[in-house]
Amino acid sequence: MSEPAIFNYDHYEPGKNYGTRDFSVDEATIAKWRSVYPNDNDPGVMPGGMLAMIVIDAVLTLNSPRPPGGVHGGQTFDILRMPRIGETLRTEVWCLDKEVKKDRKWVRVRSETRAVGSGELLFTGIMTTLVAQ
Amino acid sequence: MDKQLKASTKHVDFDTIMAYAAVTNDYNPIHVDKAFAAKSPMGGIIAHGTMSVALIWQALRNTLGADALNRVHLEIRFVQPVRIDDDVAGGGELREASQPPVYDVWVRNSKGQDVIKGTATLKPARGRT
Repeated sequence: MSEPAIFNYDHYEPGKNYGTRDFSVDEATIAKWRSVYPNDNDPGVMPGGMLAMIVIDAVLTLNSPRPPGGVHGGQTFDILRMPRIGETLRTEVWCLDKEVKKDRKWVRVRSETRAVGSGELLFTGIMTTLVAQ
Repeated sequence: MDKQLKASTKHVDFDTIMAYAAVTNDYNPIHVDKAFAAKSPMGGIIAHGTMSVALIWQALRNTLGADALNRVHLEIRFVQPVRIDDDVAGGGELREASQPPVYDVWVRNSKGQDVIKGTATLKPARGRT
């Protein structure tokens, strides 16, 4: 069986929707996070640092396999409500735009994350990435 | 409103990077493969940028309280990589007379260099103008 094609710069289409990815904010995931950030111990509330992880998890899954070596250029988050421990989140991903600047390939993806069940919009974001290929 | 965010700090070693990769399932070789990273334009391992962003969230939470995070609009740029054995600190200062309140936020390495720069805007509470 052949390997799937690498999801590189050429695959991104501005405006295209790449679907959704679910993420469970369960106790096991929180425990793993706290093994790296032991001070993130508010009861009931997901640590803010995990917001980026949720977006990256969605993008890595929906736009894959990615070429190795890409780096983060920037990120925005607009919070309407912080996720709670025990919630399942659904993140939808779009390509916002892309641009080659000084031979560097930049892609911006937009994301919207909602609570599964209620559909409540929890946070949106834009992630800027320098893709490796 | 506090003028200064209480800084949050972290020592970044290779074990921490690997632990973060395991939590986030982000095994990009630029973060975890020393041979690959050495040959890349980065010239060596760099930590996940988002590992340091967590320090800004902690500074906001530790200064303004957990409820305030529900009103944050955060915009950041990664301006310099974090390397193995860097000590990084995340914090920020309130921009004078800003309304809604805007904090200039940052993460800095032990040389005092910015590795992340940006702003955190505290939006009005919902239902308020």
